[in-house]
Amino acid sequence: MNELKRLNRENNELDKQLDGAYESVMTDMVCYLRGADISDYYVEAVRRDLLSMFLAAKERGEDVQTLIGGDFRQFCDSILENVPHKTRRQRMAELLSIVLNCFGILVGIHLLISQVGDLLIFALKKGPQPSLSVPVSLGDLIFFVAITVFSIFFVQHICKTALAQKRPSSKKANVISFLLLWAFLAAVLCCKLFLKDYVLFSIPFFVGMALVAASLLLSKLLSRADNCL
Amino acid sequence: MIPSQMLKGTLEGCILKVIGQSETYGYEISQRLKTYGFSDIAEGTIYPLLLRLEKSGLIEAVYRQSTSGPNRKYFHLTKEGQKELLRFSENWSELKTAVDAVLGGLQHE
Repeated sequence: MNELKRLNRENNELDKQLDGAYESVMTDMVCYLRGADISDYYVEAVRRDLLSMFLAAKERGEDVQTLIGGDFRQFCDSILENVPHKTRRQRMAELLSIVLNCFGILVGIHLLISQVGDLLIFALKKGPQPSLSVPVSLGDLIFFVAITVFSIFFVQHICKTALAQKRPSSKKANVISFLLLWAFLAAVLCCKLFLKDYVLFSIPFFVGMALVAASLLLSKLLSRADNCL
Repeated sequence: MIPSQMLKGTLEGCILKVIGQSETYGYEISQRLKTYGFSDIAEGTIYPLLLRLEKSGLIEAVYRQSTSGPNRKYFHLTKEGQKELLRFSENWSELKTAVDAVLGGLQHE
């Protein structure tokens, strides 16, 4: 087991001992740190320090504000200033790993959805032999790219705002964000449906599945390399 | 209470001195600083400073088992840290003499 996995497991065990405000603040802080420009190893190393600090303070009966002050974001920023940041190679490896992972999942779903019906009918011996060739349209391509880009920005947004001050006027902003999110998803789905006849190329089902497996494997390898670079 | 702007440059040197006395951990450092008159120093205030000192190679850390609660991160000075502490002591002594002279002079005026 590598150092990162060992640290992660130990931290998860320690995390179970937290409750109340400590648990909630720790969750938000780890989310914020995960969105920062530091490697997973340093996130876990800082998390271990914070967990031991929080658990000791909990035993002494101190509250979290007494321990780290009221501005959790400023506290995390001062930590981030003093932790080594990712190199350019690490950032590239991380981005590529995320893109390949999204590609693998989306293309995998696309292949299965497009073939599973035909395969089931064929298995029940009630239909013709499926062609096992999957068309990829312009709509599909736009769908893959839009969903991948959106996922990356969405996760970044959640991490960056994990420690943002909750304002009373944010309810209206939340409703607008929710509507915009659904409008975006509807637009992307419409694009996929209306442009489905613009077929760019077709790929054999099993070649597609092999590509999906290769993407997911490469994503995993890059993710590991990202933490070793 | 000492203003944070005034604390900024000196707290790191004081932390080095406390760590230089004996191997110690975050909470104990904050408690010792309190006994010296730093009334408002929480463990959370010094944690980023400890990270900075560690990153600069002035202190090293090792996790040791605690008799109560989770493992503790104990810090000790490196050779570079000892040199830095010496530099801090000299600089502080120079600054203190100058500030004392100015304040003393102002009182005489």
